[in-house]
Amino acid sequence: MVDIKTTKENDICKIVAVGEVDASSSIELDNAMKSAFETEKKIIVDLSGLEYISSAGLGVFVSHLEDIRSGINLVLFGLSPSVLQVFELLGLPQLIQIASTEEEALNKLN
Amino acid sequence: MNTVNIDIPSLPENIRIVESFIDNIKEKYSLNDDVYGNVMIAVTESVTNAIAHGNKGEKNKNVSLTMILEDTSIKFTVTDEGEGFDFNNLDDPTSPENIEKLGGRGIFLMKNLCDEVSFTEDGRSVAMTFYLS
Repeated sequence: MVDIKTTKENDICKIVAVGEVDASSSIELDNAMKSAFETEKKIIVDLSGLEYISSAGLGVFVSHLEDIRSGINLVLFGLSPSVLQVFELLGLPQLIQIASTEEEALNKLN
Repeated sequence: MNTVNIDIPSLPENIRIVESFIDNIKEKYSLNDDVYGNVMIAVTESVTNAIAHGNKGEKNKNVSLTMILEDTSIKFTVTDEGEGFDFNNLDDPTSPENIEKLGGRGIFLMKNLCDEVSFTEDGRSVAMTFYLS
């Protein structure tokens, strides 16, 4: 189960995901990400409440690499050591920006 | 030695049953956070594959999940009722030609997060062992 909230402040879209992004609930993350990528240019994703992420959840972020290359800014932040370990095992930090804190994520946007 | 087995009908949402199963094991046997995190990812990836690829989402087919707790390790076996697959011939999802693909990461994660992994029955069954020390 994952609970996802999207908010917007100034020109920055923030998506907060809490819970477990498994193969089933990754659809909810995918919907939130697709909506954000349709209208936003600067997106930060708070993963501090994420207990674990499945390969399906990782695929959601990978599916937006073209959008990122076309100029949409995406930064993930707040990953727990175990979630970060999964990103690192798969070499994803070379493709997707990752920050420790929200402040650092906002700095990476600019 | 403690053994627990559950049979899971092949519906995608049943992955939640597996998450609860692992949460209960963590509580009952006081698994530390590192082992728990690795078990959660590896076992749910395995059951997800068994439901989607092994049993092809046919809800009348079950996935069998067995946990065996020993003194120094915990082992999970996941078995489906499908046709198996060629587990020796898998792409590396971290290579440049694959890293941007949407799928193909599950078995790589399983292999990297458990201490021992072995496929049997032509790929219909996988055993994953995690050391507890």
